[in-house]
Amino acid sequence: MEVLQKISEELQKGNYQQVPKLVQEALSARIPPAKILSDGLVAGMDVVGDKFRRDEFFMPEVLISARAMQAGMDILRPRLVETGVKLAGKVVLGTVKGDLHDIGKNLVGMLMEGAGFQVIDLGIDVPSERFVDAVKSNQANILGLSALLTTTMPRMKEVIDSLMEAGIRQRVKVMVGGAPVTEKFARDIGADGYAPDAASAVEKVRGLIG
Amino acid sequence: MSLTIGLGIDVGGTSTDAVLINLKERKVLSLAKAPTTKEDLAKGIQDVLRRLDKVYFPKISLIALSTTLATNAIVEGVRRRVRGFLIGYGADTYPAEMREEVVLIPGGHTVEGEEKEPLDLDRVRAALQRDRGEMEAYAVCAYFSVRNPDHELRTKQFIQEITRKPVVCGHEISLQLDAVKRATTTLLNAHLIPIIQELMESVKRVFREQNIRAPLMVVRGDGSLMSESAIQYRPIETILSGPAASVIGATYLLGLSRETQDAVIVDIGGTTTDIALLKGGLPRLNPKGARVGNWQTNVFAIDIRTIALGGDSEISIDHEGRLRVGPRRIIPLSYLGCCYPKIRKELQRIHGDRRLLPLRNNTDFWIRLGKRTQPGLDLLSESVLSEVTEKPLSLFQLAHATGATPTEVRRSLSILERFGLLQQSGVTPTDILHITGIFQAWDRDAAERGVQILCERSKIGLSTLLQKLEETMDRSMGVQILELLLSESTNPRKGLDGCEFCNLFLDQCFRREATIEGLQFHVKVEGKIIGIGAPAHAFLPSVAEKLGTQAVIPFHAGVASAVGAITSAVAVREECSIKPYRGGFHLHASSGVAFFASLEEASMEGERRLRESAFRKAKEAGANEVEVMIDSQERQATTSGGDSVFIEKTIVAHAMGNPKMYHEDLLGRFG
Repeated sequence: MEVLQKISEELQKGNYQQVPKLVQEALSARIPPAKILSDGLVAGMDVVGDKFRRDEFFMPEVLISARAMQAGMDILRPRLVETGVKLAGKVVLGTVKGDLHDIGKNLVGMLMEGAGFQVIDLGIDVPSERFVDAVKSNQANILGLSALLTTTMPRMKEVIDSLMEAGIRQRVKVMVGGAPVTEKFARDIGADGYAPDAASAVEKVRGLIG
Repeated sequence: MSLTIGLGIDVGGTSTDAVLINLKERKVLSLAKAPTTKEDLAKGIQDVLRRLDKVYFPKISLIALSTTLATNAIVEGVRRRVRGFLIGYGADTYPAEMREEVVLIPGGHTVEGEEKEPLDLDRVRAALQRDRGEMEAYAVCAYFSVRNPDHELRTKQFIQEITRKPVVCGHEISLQLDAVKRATTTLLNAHLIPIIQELMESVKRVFREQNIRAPLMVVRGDGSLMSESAIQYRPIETILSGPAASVIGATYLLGLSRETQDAVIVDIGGTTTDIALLKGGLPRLNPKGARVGNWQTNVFAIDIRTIALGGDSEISIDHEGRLRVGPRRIIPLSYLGCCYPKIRKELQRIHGDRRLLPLRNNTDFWIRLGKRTQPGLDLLSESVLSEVTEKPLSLFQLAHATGATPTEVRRSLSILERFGLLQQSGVTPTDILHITGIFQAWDRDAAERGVQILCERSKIGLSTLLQKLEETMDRSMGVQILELLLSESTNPRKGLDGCEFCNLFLDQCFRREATIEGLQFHVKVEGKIIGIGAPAHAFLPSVAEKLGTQAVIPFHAGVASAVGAITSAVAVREECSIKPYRGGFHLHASSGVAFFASLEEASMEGERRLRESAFRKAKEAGANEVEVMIDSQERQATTSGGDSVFIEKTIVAHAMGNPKMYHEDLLGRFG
């Protein structure tokens, strides 16, 4: 479909004013919202992610495209809910207690939403109990933790301990990320997965719940 | 001169075994078996003691007992009057079945061990007043008590001052995270306290009557011993004590030293086969905690896998020629023939009647179980039931007697079986053993006839049947052994044979000969396979061979549990953890939380506390001379920038010692 192709292209260019207009156009043309999501927005972000991995795009380009996608999602989201599109999963995201960084986390949230997940972003400086409560009340199957300070990294273990004490550790896959975090650290604290950047985070999550 | 003689007793599901061992010379002096009397376990113990050689009784220095009491009580849903106080718990953090006995109390701590909410003892007092002293035991569990036991300890003291009943806390049962498992385990423990008290009283009475005065120890699910007074406080730790004791007993009987052996233990019974691992001379435990019935506890007990396959399992062949063993247990034809020789004639008649051969299940007989009846049965079922009252009858005899068709009778038989009113008899592995001559105790003729009918009906020869039986049993046991050995490295969702390739691989491993041209699959298990249970020597050698190892069957394997009970030792495990906290360190121990500026200080204090409490608890558990070993594990993580981040340090203390014994010349000192 021509309009879906255009959505993808404009998204790749980061045109955050055009993308929502095109999404509206597609909706008016009675294209199913799920198709607009997969063949328009997600298709575009997939190309962006690909180029990022091949070092053709860098963070600024990714952020600009993500913003364009968000603009498109704002129009599309209510229609997706209406038609009861099957969610790929439910993700709770947050930056651990004592840490205020959020750019990477926000990007992960946007990409996960683009990939068809419902995202509950708890924000920054989130204490362990809030993570546990959010996982329980939303019945999330994925928990994403972000930390950018070496002093706050141990908090990630605390969150996992809190999930264990609540008896719900088995119900959720825990992903960790952030500049100082490594694959080995993820294994050492008992997390289920680690991703070095937002784009690969989505892939990793798909692999964990698939 | 005092002999060191120990009395080991195992109260199992079916039989109660007892053994007298000269502990210094490692010799079995006398052994006996008696049927277990479920309603009154002490009676079974009385019976078995009568069958032992009494000359040794005055010289007994130690008694050790393993029992299925706790496991049975939990599985059968026995409930006593107990109250559980859950502090800082939400409404959905304990099993719904326990709602009646639970009272939620405000309080609890955070993951860092700080108080989340003040403890509300007024609510506790109100509940105690409502209960008016009618409770037999109390359980107290607080959220994150693992990180700070303060609320549990204060509540326990409060309850003990008001009532005089036993109170057990969550952190005293386990220091593992998972508040749900902890609450479940602590509550189940409370239910078991009055039950085990009653058993210990009646058991001690039996010993007094027999003039046996020696300290009584009880086996725990990890195989270690605990004095009967200490175990009355934590009876939940006796679950799976029988299997754990049998692993230790088999090791002892084979003369294997405690420190050096790794092996697989296979216990083949009548209905089921249990498989466990021996690691470093001790039973391998299940780190997730023992599962009893539908309850998931956090008790560290032996990791045991059970498959529905045994000496009396039903052997059947489906319409595609596949042989199945089990899962149902039936009466072996050889045994039935022994009690009712007339079935031979009927078997002969069936065998000779060509019309009957194509039909399924025509070697099967049915016999009445007990005198019960069931109201609301249909006419045919009533008729069938009355026919099988005097003696076992075959399907055709029943059809003839009731005038119904075999199909109609079959339907009635299923109904009657479901109500437990009658039991089936047919071809089982025990019957096969009669034919191969390995087992000769019962009626070989009946077994032979039955197997002949089975072979002709399925159009396979006897040697093919024997081969298929061996391959089927080997595969069932073999796969379970492999799953257990691999459980630390992998956890496949659908089991080891969940994919086509693995299925093929396993299939080929357990066949007598490879059936794929040019390709052979082999598996090699490095440890030996130790077999216990009556049919072990018949069925284990072929499994062992296919696993590239040997089967070893100890002498006296039938009383391995009783032997293991009396030859085991006291072992206590205590742990503490150190975590980073606001620029310093928090030491979390069962005695409380403490802050330290440096990791060294925290570690030194942690070790000191652990040594002291492990030593004390081992003494309380009945150990004579205690040896304490400390082990610690520190977890540091490396950041991407190369910095080191301290995550946590766990320190574990193991205290071990032989049980204190009673000696004649020190009369009255330990009694």
